[in-house]
Amino acid sequence: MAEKIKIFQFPIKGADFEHIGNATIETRKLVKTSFTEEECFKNASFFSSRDLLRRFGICAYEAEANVIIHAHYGLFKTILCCKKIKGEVIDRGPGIPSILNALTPGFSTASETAKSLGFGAGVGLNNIQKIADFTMLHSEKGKGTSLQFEVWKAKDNEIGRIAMKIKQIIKALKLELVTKNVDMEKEVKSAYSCDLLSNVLAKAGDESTWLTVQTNMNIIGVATIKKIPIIIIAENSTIPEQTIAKAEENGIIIAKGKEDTFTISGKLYELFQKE
Amino acid sequence: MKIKTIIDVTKAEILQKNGITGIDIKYAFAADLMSDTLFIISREEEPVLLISGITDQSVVRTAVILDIPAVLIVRGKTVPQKTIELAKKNNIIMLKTYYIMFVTCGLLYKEGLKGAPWQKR
Repeated sequence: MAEKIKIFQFPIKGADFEHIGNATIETRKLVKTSFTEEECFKNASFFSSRDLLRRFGICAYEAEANVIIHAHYGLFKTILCCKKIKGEVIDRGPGIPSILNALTPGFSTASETAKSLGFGAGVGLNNIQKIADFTMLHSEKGKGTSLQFEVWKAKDNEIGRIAMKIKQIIKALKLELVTKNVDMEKEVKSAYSCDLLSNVLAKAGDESTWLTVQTNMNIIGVATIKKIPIIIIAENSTIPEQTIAKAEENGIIIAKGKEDTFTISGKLYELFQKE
Repeated sequence: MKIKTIIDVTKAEILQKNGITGIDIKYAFAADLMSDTLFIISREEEPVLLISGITDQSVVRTAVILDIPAVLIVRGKTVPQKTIELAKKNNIIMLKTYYIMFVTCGLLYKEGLKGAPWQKR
């Protein structure tokens, strides 16, 4: 099925403080009417969530305010499709001398006029980064800045976050992947460290990470029963070919770490606390 | 809390009365920084009152973007006609009180309004 895309464009004039937020409100109206009137968007159930529209509005407003405060002129482009809303704000202006500074909350080079209107608190870009599901910022000193942000359908976002979790664990603990059939879509909710298979069978939570030094084939059986998506082998133990083959057959990820069970457990614990 | 109660409690003056009728405000949020305001997550079924000292049009636009049905301006500032017109166009109720922000918040809190739900990000 062909996917329908709608594009809206609005020009923004620099230092036009009187009309700050106009482009955002107009775009919001157009997006909203598309949701209720256009057949294609009406069917996409996620549009009923006002959260999406609001999140997009916040990002657009901050981006627009940035152009008005700092640049000479800009263009605000919105691309609407059935899965996400994408905003693109391109301007001609002084550019951002240091993006790292600009992303620091509280850092602002806004004029007094902007500050008297309640803008220029130096949290705009940071807000966008936190609220949008995807942001890209590119700036050239003396030429201009382009900012892209996307707000995704809630469910897509969720999957993205879960996939991140397994990736995150492997990355954060510096683990070595042993199996090749890595299915990153799986969710990990907790972790359990134990070498006694019967204990794991009795106590490990469903869909948790299992940390062990056991490498015999039986661990795969236990993992399958307990729906454990990832087994972490501690202390760099050698893993027999059969275990790997069976894990791949059952779609279970095996990752290997150099540290002992205690250290990996501690790091894992910290990781889940952060989540 | 009905708009009428808010008017009574804060001795407010109505600047613009067009808006959602019979709305029952449950939460309030007070800020002058628009970027701060953008962090409150209001929902349609949980109407929020925005308390601000900003009289510029940006306060109305912020309210529109966040689905806030009513704005209360504090310290009896003169609100430009353009702001009121914009509020009228977008169906945002606008009130003005002579109390300072701290007193306004205190009075409304005492009457049972709660702080707006916001997300830590």
